[in-house]
Amino acid sequence: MIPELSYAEYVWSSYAIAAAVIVWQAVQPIQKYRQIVSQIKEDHLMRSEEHT
Amino acid sequence: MWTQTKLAFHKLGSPLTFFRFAQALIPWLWGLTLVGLAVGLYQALYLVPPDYQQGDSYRILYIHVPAAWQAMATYIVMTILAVITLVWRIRTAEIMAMTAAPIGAAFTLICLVTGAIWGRPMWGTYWAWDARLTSMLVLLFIYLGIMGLYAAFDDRRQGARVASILILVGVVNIPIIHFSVEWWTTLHQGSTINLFGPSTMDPSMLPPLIWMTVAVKLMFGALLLQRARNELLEQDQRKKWTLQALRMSGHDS
Repeated sequence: MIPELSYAEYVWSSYAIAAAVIVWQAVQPIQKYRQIVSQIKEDHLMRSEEHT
Repeated sequence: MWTQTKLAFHKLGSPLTFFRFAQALIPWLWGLTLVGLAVGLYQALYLVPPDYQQGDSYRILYIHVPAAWQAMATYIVMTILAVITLVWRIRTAEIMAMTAAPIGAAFTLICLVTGAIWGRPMWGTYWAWDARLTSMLVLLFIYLGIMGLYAAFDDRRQGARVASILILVGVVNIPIIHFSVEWWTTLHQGSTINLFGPSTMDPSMLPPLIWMTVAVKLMFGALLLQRARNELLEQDQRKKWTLQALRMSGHDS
């Protein structure tokens, strides 16, 4: 590690916890979006099969 | 100007327009957030000098303070959206008010945890039932209450209206958080940043705080639009506009 960045563990753990919460907040909507998009596509396919 | 603003506001009430607006804005907001975080973190962890009393421990404030401000700002945004929900019954406002709650809860959690970690070496304890800390914990419970209440209703629109009432009741906690350090004798320090007067913080320590605060605000915007877009799509997944919207954004069926 760069000598200037050798801060106490609690400084780094604060940043690590904040980063973990932010990553979780950022990833969750992306996964949800993919899930909804595939659901909508499936729904649409089923409905178009019903019509034919 | 006012008429155009009103028109734009009303147009955003249409799910398809809102979807397109969100899709266009989200990548920009995330891009700017990452730039803000990169500059802010570089300054916070590398450029700014240690504090003469706290040493490097004070660097925690560069995540703690923006998270605390955002936790409160999110609640104010939710209150405005709750008023729009109850008065004009605009569905996109309802959805945004409800999807802002988990984001506000996340920032409150970051604020409480980083504050506790800083408190151990500085105050000698992780937690004290001090007015500022307790009112912040109450804010977390209010956020969780709003999320729970909204989820308890099968009819999402009814759930949003009931939860909006809770948002309006809970807003009383925001001035309590802000003024707690003035109204009561607290372990938590008073305000060091003053928008309308001189700040007690050294000017050399301010730039990273400004960068991190702006980055967190942009991040909130991106997260809110993502969550609101998802909720809108989920609620309307059997409606025609959703397929049209997905086609427009490059999802071939």
